[in-house]
Amino acid sequence: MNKPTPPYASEQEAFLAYLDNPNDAEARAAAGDLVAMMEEVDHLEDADPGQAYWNQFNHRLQQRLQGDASRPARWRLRAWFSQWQAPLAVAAMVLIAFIAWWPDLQRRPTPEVGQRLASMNDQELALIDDLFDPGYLDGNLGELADNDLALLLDVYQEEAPSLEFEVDLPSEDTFDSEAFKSLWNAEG
Amino acid sequence: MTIQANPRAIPTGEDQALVQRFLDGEESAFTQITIKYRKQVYAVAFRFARNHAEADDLTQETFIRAYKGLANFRQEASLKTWLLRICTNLSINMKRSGRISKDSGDAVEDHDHGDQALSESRLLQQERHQELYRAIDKLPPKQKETLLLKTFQDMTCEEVAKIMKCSPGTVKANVFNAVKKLRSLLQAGVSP
Repeated sequence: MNKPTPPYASEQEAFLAYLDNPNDAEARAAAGDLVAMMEEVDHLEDADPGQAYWNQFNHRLQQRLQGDASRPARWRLRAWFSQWQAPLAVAAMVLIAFIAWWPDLQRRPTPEVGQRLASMNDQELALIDDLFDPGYLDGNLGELADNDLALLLDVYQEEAPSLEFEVDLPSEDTFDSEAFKSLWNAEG
Repeated sequence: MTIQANPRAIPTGEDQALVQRFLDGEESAFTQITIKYRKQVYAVAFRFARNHAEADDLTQETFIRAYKGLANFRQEASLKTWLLRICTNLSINMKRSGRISKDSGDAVEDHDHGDQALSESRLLQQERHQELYRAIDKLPPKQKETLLLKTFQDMTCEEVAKIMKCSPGTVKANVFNAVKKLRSLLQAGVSP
């Protein structure tokens, strides 16, 4: 004689059957513990804050809806801005970097001017440096704008003979006016 | 606050008629929708938030979203399911972002009972509820959310699946695992 097979092979199977049909008595019995647990959760209080709360509910909701509709333009602008915040920040950073680097880019000497500078000796470079405002250059010819430097080199070529002569003159610290007068008379 | 009518929404039942009237510009239809479902929405919100202030906020926010989104309501699910889905999503998002506190203890019973002395059996029941809630809080989020919905007003697995955007099979598996874990947590004694 065949033994009757239990309707549910496991607790899980019985519980899933109970979920499909809570009136299935066999499923309830087979998954007794779990069903009891489930029903306990089921009976957790369904909160009701009371009639006084509900009497005010729709009025408050209406106020919030009207508040949303009449939200000032600045809020809408802020909402729009918040959407584009990241791209705007990146664009601003690129612009700031460009503005910061632009003077440097303009000052950088061209290869032609660079070659002319490289072919000059230390004395010639010192003279060019003297021609320009020492406070601005501070001995750094690389800081000169390309156009300024080209102009300076041209001036140097024109003025070089007289500049070389002036180099031989005594410096201001040791300037002797009597010696200068005698030199002037001797040279005519 | 003009809302365009959705031509695909064909009213067949009471809810659909209310939706259609609202989409046609009748504001009072939305008030009727609110009155009809506000208690259920609040109850779901309270299940997740477990305090009155946050449940109230979630309920209001649910109806505000519904008001703004009713034109996009496809009527594939019932209006109740749609509203509960909004509320559930809001609750889950707020909970996960930490905007809902774990348990403020501002239980709604306080409003109902005032200063009345609680009987011993009611105190015991409340203690058990607190223990149960603590155990529920320890469940993985998906299991917890599914269990709270499934045990809410005899919702079917299909309804919960629509709200959770998953299959009914997943709902059943999540509920089974949740209940099994609850049982072991309670047997072991849940620490507060």
